[in-house]
Amino acid sequence: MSWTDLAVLALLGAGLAFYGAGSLGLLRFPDTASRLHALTKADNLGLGLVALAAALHWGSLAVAAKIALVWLFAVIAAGITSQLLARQARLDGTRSHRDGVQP
Amino acid sequence: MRLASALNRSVIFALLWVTLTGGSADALIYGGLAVAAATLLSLRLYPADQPGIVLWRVAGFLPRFLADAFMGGLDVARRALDPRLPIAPGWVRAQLTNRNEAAGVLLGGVVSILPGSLAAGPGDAEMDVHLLNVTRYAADGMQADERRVLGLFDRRIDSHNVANG
Repeated sequence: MSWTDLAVLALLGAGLAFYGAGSLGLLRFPDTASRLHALTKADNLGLGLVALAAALHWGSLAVAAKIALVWLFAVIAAGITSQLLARQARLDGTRSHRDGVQP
Repeated sequence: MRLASALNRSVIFALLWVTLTGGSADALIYGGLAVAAATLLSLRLYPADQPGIVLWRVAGFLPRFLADAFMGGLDVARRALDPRLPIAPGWVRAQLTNRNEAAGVLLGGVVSILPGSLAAGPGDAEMDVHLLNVTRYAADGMQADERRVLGLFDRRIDSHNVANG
């Protein structure tokens, strides 16, 4: 096993660990917005590390550029959707507070 | 202005297409159609007279953004794994200095990458931000982030400043 393979394995393992931590946060955090923190941030980093592993594994600049773009698009999509979901969570929270309902 | 903008954007979309597909010669017709459609849609969604993003400034922005993404993921993973679950979540309302919606959405995205904060989209020169630890909020950090994001745009962004009405 070469050093590259080891690095690929380490990056993959770290990436999966962040996905795991993100999912754990989704289960453990108490409210919608906190859960969004876990999903967006930990998964962005997890995907980034898995993408790095893939780029290193195939070892070509073209593939690395493609993977970097895929990561960037995923981060942009996560940035937009998390804002939309957080806004809705904020509105729901305000509404249930006003109506005296526990969120 | 509009033509320059259309050209700029189609070059960017063409580069994206080549990078994503490999840009083989027998697929050029599809690529051309996709680039034309993307450029038209882009001009419709974000017209050429809107404040533009200066590409070379994005290059200066990226290292910090990547470091933030790393720290943000690390921070939330640490909290999720800690048995004591060290979070004190809550909302704050941050005041912004600029009303431009595109800049606001971009700022929201950047803020949501940072450790501990998540934006709920821009309002009218303000933004609701959710914090994992609401006791640690620093308004000047938010202002610095807004300055960095506004610094990506060309001068037309200044006309959206709150101070200019």
